[in-house]
Amino acid sequence: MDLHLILVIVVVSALAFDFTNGFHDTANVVATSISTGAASPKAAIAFAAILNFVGAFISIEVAATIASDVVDQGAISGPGSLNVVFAGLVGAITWNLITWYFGLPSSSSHALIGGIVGAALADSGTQAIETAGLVGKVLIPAVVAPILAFIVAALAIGLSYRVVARLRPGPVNRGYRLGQIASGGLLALAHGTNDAQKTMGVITLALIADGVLPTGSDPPFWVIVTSATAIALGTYSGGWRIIKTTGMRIIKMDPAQGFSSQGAGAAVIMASSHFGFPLSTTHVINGGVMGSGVAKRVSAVRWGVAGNIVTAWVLTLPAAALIGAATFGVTQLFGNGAVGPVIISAIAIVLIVIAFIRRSRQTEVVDVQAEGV
Amino acid sequence: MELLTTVVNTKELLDTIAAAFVASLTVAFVSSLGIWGGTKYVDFSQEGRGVSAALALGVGIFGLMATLAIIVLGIYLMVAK
Repeated sequence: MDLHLILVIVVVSALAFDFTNGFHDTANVVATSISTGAASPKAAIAFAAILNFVGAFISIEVAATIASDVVDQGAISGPGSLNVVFAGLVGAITWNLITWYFGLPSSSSHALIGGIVGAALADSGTQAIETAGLVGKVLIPAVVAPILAFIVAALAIGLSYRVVARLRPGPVNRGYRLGQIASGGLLALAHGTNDAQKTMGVITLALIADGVLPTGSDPPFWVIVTSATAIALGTYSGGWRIIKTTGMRIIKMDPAQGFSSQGAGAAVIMASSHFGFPLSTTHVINGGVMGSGVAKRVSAVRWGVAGNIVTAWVLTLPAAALIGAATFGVTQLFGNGAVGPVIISAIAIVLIVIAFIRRSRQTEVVDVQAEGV
Repeated sequence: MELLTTVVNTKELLDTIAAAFVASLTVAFVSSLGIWGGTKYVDFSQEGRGVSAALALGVGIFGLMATLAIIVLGIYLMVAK
């Protein structure tokens, strides 16, 4: 009964992570469409939420990469295995909320990987980590993704500007805004397919670890539906702070730049998915936005903002790992049962509520100041 | 260097880079062609240049159709993954 309570907590935590993934990564999909006026904020977010939901159903291939390629499942299959998964999720959720608080677009996937790696390290030491998988499937792609998107988007916007040069700006902007609806839709679909799968994989692994499902099972239908719903609801909630950073603070974007960065992002993500080389949606889109800015002129990019974003990317894995490891350590103070996760969940809920209230008060103050009242 | 080639599937990486370049530059080119064709069609029509307008319309339709084909291919690749 005690073990099943942990399972319930892990499933709820995984869905909570999925929700934060949705509202945190909404920015990647909709920010450029909103900033160029291709779609109203509400329409863009609703569109992205629907396509994220649909995307989650497109592939039933379990994205167990997180658990199988970077962590040795055999090393964490003991009685504390659900605590490891729980601690990893807490690390990921916490880092997502910290970066949201500061309006920084960081990779939710890397946060999840970091959290689970940290918790597994605390549980079983370095033997629990698949170093080759961590380097080959996480660290190298983390470097490749933004650079590739940066170059591709810069070349794409250069080519676009060349073709439409000397045309009247009105119809050109309308055309690219229309194109942004399609490219943004593809991004949302790709995001739902990739990211909802990760939560499904984590929940399925927890069910297997608890003995509810036999080893090698596909995710049950209820797992697919709840994961799709959580990411869609998160997307619909909208991470406005990150949308503002990606869509407005890195560069002042015109519709051609918005389309090029989204189109390049969609092309890079689909190419990587097709050839099995996983890239972060966040890194790709933000790299693309910077590339499309540089192609116009280097000073068009606000390098201070770009630097903060890159710093957040570099810190994501170690910070989430540290939080995951610390969380696992605290759960172990209460043994392998459900007591530790229950206490940590209660504290986490209180802290999250405080953070949301504090942030919304600060936003109200800024709004009032902006209105000059 | 040897460690990197061991842990990174170089072929997947190079395929991804090549496909990303080809796909995004093709999308940028054909969609811009569609916009060029549409805009020029309106301009030429207003100037009474029928043949030029028809040619521009052809280019615009080609660009639009090619863009749609790439989008459909992208969705297919995701579904068939």
